[in-house]
Amino acid sequence: MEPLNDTLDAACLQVFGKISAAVSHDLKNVLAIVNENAGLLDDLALRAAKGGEIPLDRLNVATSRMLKQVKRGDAVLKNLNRFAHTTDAPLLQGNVAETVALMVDLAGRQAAMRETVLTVAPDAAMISTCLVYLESFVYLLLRHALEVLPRKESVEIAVAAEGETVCIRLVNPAGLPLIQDDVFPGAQEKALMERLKIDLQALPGTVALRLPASLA
Amino acid sequence: MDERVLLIDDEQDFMDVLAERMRDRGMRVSTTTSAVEALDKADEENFDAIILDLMMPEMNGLEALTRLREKNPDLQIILLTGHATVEKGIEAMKLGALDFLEKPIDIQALNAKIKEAKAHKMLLVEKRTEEAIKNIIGCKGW
Repeated sequence: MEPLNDTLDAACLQVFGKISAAVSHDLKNVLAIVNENAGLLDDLALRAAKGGEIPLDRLNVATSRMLKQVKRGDAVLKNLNRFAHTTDAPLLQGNVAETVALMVDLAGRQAAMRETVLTVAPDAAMISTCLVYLESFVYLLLRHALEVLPRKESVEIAVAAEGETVCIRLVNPAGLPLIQDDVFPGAQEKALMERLKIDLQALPGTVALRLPASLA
Repeated sequence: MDERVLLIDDEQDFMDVLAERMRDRGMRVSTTTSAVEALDKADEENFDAIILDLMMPEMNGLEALTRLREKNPDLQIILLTGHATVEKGIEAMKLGALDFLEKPIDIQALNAKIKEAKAHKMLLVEKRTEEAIKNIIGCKGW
């Protein structure tokens, strides 16, 4: 990767830190559930060793819970791995909606804490840009919107190709503000916007980001 | 054992299986995924120990800890979390938590902590009873 300037570096580090904290929390919960179910199987085995009966339904529930958590942990790690690999090259091509959906997944824990639903509509629009900066900006925007919106709200995200640019639009159906404009964008977000040539327009209930489809 | 325990955690699968294992060990366990509902349950029932998650949607664990202790300072609350940091642990202890444990937890260690909570609570109750008796004797001048 090309050398980062201090502000961009700090922004990306902050995003990596926040995502690592959320992912490690998720994985701790996954391990805790697997641990309890393994413990339950151990309890049942001890009971059987003393001549007690093993209830099959309890065995089935325990194993299905463990399999469910393995799938959950795998999904969390796949997302983290995808995000980590966007630092592989200074410019990468990617599907915009899938990139935004990845950041929505990675912000999932915060959304769950705020009981807020984030949805991304699939779209074929592609982008060639510094993906790690775009992901970092989208993540910071999502985290900010989750703080600004009241609990139990929703944000619908749509992507569209507009000639030489790509538009990412966030909409709250109730028309509530998604950003607090004296806070967002801050210095880090402004540095990311400048690097990615993002034009941000905010109206109550809507935030639209327009950026070049090809940064090269 | 017969300890009365309230488990509060937004991870339903975790709470269900932990409660199942605790019941197998003779404890009476109530569960809820909601910190708000937990406040009501703590009013309705007398628990020897409350096991509380740190991060929950409606109210975070530290706020729930504060509100539970405001309602009843004798409540013995153990924070159990996948989001442990030294700062949060210190904050929880300052707010009156009995302990701050990290997931995944060893059930023997948790059982020991619950027994400690029950013993601690009994001591507090005995102390209050003794004080009440002293007050009555003092007032009546017997």
